[in-house]
Amino acid sequence: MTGPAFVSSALAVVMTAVTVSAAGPSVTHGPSSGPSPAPPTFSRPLSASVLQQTAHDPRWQALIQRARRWPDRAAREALRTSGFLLSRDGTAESELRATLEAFLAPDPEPRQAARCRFPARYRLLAERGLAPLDRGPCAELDAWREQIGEFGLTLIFPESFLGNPASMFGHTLLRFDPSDANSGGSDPPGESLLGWALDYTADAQGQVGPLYLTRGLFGGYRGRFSLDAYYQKTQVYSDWQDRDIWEYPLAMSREDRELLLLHVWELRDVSLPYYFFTQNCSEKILELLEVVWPGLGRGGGFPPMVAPVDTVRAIAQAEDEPLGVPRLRESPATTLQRRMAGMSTADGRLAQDVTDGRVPLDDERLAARPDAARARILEVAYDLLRHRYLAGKVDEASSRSRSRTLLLARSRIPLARAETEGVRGDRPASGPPPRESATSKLSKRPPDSGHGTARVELAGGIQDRDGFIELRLQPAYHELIDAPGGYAEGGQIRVLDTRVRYFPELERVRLHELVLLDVVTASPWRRPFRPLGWRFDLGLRTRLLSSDRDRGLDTEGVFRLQGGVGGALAPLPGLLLYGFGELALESGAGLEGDVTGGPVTRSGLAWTTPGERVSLQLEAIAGVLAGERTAPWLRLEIAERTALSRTWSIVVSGRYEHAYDVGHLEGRLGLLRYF
Amino acid sequence: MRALILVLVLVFTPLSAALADNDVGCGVGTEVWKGNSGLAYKLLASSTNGLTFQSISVTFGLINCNGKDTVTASARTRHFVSTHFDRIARDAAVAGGESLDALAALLEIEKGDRPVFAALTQSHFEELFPSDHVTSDEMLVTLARLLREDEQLSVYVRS
Repeated sequence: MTGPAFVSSALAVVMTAVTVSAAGPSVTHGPSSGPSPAPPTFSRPLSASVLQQTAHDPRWQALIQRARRWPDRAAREALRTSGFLLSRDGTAESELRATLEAFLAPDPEPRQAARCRFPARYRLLAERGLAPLDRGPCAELDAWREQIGEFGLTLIFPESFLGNPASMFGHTLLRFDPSDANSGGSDPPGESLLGWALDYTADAQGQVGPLYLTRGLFGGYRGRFSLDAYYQKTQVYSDWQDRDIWEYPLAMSREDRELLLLHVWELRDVSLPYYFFTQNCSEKILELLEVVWPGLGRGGGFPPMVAPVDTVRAIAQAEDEPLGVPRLRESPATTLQRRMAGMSTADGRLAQDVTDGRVPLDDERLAARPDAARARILEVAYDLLRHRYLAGKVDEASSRSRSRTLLLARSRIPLARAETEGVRGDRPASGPPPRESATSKLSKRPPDSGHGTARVELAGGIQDRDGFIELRLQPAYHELIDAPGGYAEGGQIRVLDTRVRYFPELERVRLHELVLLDVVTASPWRRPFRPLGWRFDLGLRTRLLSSDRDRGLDTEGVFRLQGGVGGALAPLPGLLLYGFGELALESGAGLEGDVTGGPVTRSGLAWTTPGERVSLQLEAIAGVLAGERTAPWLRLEIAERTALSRTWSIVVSGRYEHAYDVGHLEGRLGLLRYF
Repeated sequence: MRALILVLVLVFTPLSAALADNDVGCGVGTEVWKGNSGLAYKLLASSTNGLTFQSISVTFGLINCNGKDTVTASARTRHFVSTHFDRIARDAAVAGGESLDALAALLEIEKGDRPVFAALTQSHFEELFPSDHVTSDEMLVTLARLLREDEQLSVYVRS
């Protein structure tokens, strides 16, 4: 061995806009100082048909952002001002003409600058015979390209993070892997951490709160691509936010990968309006991949909102099925739960006591345990301490000294990780079987295997004494009664859930319910965590009120705001028990005094069969609504869902509700399709 | 649509604790087990799909972080170690793990030698992490010495 240098080249892949001003291609992407390339030999006239053909090539249209799903004027303007569009109107033909003009300009300096600014366009046009094959030198681009080296591609999906509205639906990024990051087993070598993560994010200029949200929804921020070390991303998503991350290997030919990477270079200075729900990270990653796979995600009839998991699905459905089997990068919290589930109760308690400092490291209970068990206890104790510290529950001084003491004690047990953690990939083939394996309780299904994120439902039923037909539209996202696979455990998010009912006998159409936002987080308690669940519900609902009429009750639309905290248990696989204490507020012209409100308890269970074909949900709400008068509110509901296929389900439900001194029954049968 | 904004504003206002400090910075010389406390909370309103934060300055900062002291590790190695210092410490103590493996890769240690490398960091844990204030650069200096002294691994150190 010749002794490879301890020094690896300083890999500073700087594609950030900070390095260059956005003044324009000729300034920022100057050609190298080498000899000027020969004048263009492509003086033969381009036939109109070749031009036409190329302009209509979907790859060309994707490269110039002509294939965008949301070709709004602000984006066009941004593309032009950032120098990404060379022609005035940016159409496929004029952009092609302007690009070729720049690439074949007689003056060598601007000619080379254009080629270095748009290497992906150049590559495509050269392949089509419209420009010389040799692009010529580009100092900055070539250096950048060299730093990335040979690479593979992985689609990264951090799961939802309910702490941030923009992250509720998860996130997608693209990783440029070092070439061997995906080799060898399901637990890849550390090289995967050393890949580069391509991320499309909004620059919110440090703004937070309402302003951030408002601007985020309406394109008030500029989004741009950034390329960072993947290990920085895992630190954020995994260590700091406790999100599990799915990593899908992406199969793509070497030529296509190269085109994609060169296109990333073209986009480095481009910033576009960012919309949380439509022109977001996922949409941009899709658009980027369309350079290679034209029409990605179009066939399936995308809903207007693009949730990150839709990106995963769209790629999974691409023609040559490029998506590989995903690998789950567990968050520290998930790992802790899995490891503690694999420990005896006594060892688990001992580990927690060690974390808390209640049991000193020289305690005989610890010393009495065999090496492997003691090592596991110390590891879990450290991980738990670290988790608490990052959550701000342990102060720095005590965390520091205890962290080191714990690890030092662990290091004195001469057992390698493979022998104590039972890790899938780095377990020696001849070694002992893992003591801890992922229990069925914690096994997860990848996000793309879940149901579609939008739904339409057609239902019929009886409300009080009136028959109705209901049309329901819900653009996003997941309910407790849905098949849980692929979604956050105990989570529910409904956005703009709209039900319109038609009563044939009364010949009346009513907006029965409009949920603006309904979020439930009911992650079950599981050693060592007891997460506090919360829910929030805002929207319009129909209340049935006593009537002066002879027949039936009055229907009245009320505005509702309801929220609270609670918790959940998962005593058996597929079963979730939950309870919440909430405050409810209702307001409507038909209510006495216009406004009522009061405390409410909600308890329920959701159960799904192992194959997720059938789900059952029971829920009871009990409380009071106080306005001018105080009246009890009680609601009992039972619902059952049977999957007919992956996209179709039947939902049957029955409910009794008593509020504002009147009670009524409702029965409903619906046919539901997920998109 | 206006109503929806109101909803979201109502929901998330309490959570929007300010993200004022940029404590990731250049990062070289980070102390082990230091910093980041409560970051999970600080970051509630930032990061992820919503924000670019610090990444640009950090990526950009790699160049400036390329010091000239005795450690011959590259800027990238130093940046990685300072970013994943607590994970590396844990991996060293248990003689294995992704972060330690990534460090081995940055040091260009061949796959076949990595178990030996992991065992070395475990058996010399106390030297590598002599106090709870050790910095990532100090750890790298010690590591370079340990590698040089190791029969099998000394080939990875340029003398």
